[in-house]
Amino acid sequence: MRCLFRAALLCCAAASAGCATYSDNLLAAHEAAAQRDWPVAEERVNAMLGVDSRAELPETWDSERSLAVLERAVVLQSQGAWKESARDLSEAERELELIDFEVDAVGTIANYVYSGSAQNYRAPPLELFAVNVLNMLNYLAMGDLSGAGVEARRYQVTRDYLDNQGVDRPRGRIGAYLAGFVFERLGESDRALRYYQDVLEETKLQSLAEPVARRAVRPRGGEVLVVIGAGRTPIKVPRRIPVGAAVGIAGTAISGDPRVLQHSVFKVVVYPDLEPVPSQVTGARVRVGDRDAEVELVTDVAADVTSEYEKIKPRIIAAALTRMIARAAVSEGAMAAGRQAGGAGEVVGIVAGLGAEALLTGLDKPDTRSWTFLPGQVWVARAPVAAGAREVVVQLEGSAPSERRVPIQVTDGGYAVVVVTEPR
Amino acid sequence: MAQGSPRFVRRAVAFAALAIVSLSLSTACAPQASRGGAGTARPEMDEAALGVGLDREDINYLVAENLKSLEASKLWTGSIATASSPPTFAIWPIENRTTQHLEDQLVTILSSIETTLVNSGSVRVVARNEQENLIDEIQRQGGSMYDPRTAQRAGRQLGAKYFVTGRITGVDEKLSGVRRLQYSLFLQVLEVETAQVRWQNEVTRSKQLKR
Repeated sequence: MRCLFRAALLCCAAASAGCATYSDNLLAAHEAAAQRDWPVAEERVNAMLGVDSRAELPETWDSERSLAVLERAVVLQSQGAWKESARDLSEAERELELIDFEVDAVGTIANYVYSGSAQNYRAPPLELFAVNVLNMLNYLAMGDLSGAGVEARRYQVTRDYLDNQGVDRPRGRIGAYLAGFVFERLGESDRALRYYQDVLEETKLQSLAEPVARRAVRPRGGEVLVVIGAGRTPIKVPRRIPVGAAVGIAGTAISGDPRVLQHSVFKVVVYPDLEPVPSQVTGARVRVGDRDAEVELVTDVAADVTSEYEKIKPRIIAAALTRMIARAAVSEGAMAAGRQAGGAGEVVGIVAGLGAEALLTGLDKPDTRSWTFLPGQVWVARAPVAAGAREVVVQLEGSAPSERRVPIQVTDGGYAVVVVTEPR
Repeated sequence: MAQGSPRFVRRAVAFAALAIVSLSLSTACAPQASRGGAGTARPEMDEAALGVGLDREDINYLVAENLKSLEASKLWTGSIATASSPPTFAIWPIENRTTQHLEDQLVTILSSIETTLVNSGSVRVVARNEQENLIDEIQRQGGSMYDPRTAQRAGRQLGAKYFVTGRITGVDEKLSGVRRLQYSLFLQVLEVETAQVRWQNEVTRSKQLKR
């Protein structure tokens, strides 16, 4: 009997050790990004997508591929490939929306018995916003105000959608800031002002004082807006905690009777927990022509990701417990059938029960999927400039400092947007 | 094993059957292209909506209804159709104020308007490439091509008496399991000399995605 028990546990260990998680698969891409080797990071993500180059999109889409296309979009933005990044964001957004629309019956059932990863990926609110925010940046960097306007309106649709769903909206400071800038440039001053006021309700920003003072009417002179997205956001990793502790955190969110777990041989729950990732970039300096421009932190994405996760953590642990209860119930059923048969049937029932639980436990991978290339912090520098050509110098500070130089051309009443994205 | 022996024949038949099954399976899995729309055996192919974006059916409807209104207007029947020589029209870009990237659709809308106006025989239309050069110039100088004053100035430069312009707007709403987009194509004709609006009309079309 003891041998059979050990065999079941070994079976479980072997099965659980076999599969790499989503975060594991992206590790090589992040290692390349840490070396600022963006082409190699792109190659790694392309390999995940099963494509040879940035020109290609995956032939078939699923949750992982949609998410990986979002990852590639940020890597492309880091290289200034605005058009390709915009295409990736739009395509992935469409696919994620379709996934969100599907009734995921198979995924939901599988979630309770097998694994969180079996279910379709539903982007959390912060990631939904990030799609449109990053795409506003792509279009602004291309000088396509009309395209940026489309993304700014889509950003508002997402805000309305979350409000209508009664979902706590994440802080949208950079989204509102950029939407304000876009509508100001499109000549929709009232709308722009509303967005600026949204930002100012959450944080005081010096760079908005002057636009608000002129009621978001387009300035007569030229203007430069520098947006820097850098650093890392936390990633999800599998975490084990004792069943008792998990029940305490999950509380009433658990479905099923946790008492069945008393008979289970597995005494720990595995769930996806957030793990902070050290950022190489912790600040920035900006010089426009021969003048320094003040740099302000507009959004701490990493902190917002953590705050969003903490709110849903009890439900995540509850889902893991619910799956564990379902597995224990399967095991209990097999053992009960064996006991009824008696004799050799009882032994077979115990083996089948332990085997089933071990196999299902081995197949149970916590859902560690998230948009791992989202920049951890977003800074902004905004400065009025006279018409003409000049250079914008952006110095990234931290454990691996770097510098980017971007030539710009501004007309009277015109603007230039410089985007620097380094998620490392 | 001699050719023609019963065993050889059985094997040959089995091999052929296997080849046919494999071939038919591989054909069934491959994506199949098909032709549809007017002039084909599947005229209904274009009718199905594949998403909430603007498709050719929507564009045809929005443009046709708007231009029907123009042809029935006092401007057309009273001034244009009865003019001693056909007046010159310029077609100015249409502003996209929706939540969709509609670059290709806007080109199709402009082409449809141009085609209908040219084929009416009642007006002359400035070639689009001339206008595009002017638009490029305006954008290089940092001007907004959707500003009516810019359009009026450009109309004068192009020697047009009227210019057609407009915008496409969209009310986009999303709820759990439903997304609805209500498009409106708003068109207007302005007189270059006076900047007066001589005709305007709006046609709407809704698209919905539902679980």
